[in-house]
Amino acid sequence: MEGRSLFLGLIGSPYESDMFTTASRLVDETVRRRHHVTVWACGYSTALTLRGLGDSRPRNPWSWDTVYPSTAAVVQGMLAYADGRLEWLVCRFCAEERGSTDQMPGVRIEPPANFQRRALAADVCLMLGVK
Amino acid sequence: MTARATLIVVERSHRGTLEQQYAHVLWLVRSLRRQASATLLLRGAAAVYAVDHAAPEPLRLAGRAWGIAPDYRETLQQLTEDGAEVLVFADSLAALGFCRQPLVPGVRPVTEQDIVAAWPKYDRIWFL
Repeated sequence: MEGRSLFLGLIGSPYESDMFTTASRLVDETVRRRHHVTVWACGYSTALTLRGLGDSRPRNPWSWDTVYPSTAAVVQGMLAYADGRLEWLVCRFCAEERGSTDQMPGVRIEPPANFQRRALAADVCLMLGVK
Repeated sequence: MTARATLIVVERSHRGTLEQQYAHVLWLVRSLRRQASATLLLRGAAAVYAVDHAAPEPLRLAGRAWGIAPDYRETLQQLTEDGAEVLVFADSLAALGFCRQPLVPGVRPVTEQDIVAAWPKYDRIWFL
């Protein structure tokens, strides 16, 4: 496999901090340098890639015709750009616990027991957020 | 019906650039003010919003720009243009190291004593 592997755990919730923004920038730069990234979303981070989010956020009444991408669209864009060097995994336990199992295409729901296996297999492991 | 005086206190900052984009807490304050007048007080980490700064660039990921980054300065300016009173807690600015920085035009720094003295004139105090 070309490059090194990064395991990135997202444990915190969206709309609480800039965790998702930071993670997205890390993913983008790592993939751009031709390394591989596995994102593991736990807790309310499982909501970032819900199918129901669609491609865009609700309309802005102050700027009606502007289209703002959803978090799911951002992840979709990164998956397409990464050309196989990014996988986005969602913890089944957390997703079921929060009713967020209906994930967008390209995202895989994994059994929680795979968390440690995936983390240990990576060259670098970084966890962001607090459950 | 008697007009109610509302003080909206914002203490937390940076709650998701990519998630929120336009719909950040100051946008919410502006939207609420369309229906009822309110004073905005920035304190804690949110005092950073009052510091004058350049408009943010959209985030570039996967070789392209995505949406917009929250523009707190622009929204504060819109709020003051709407006629809102916008206050920032001076102690919070000092704690963040911004006490000598220029503020967004129209934003007024206040002390703890100012806030305590003004508190009774508000009958609704919301922490957003």
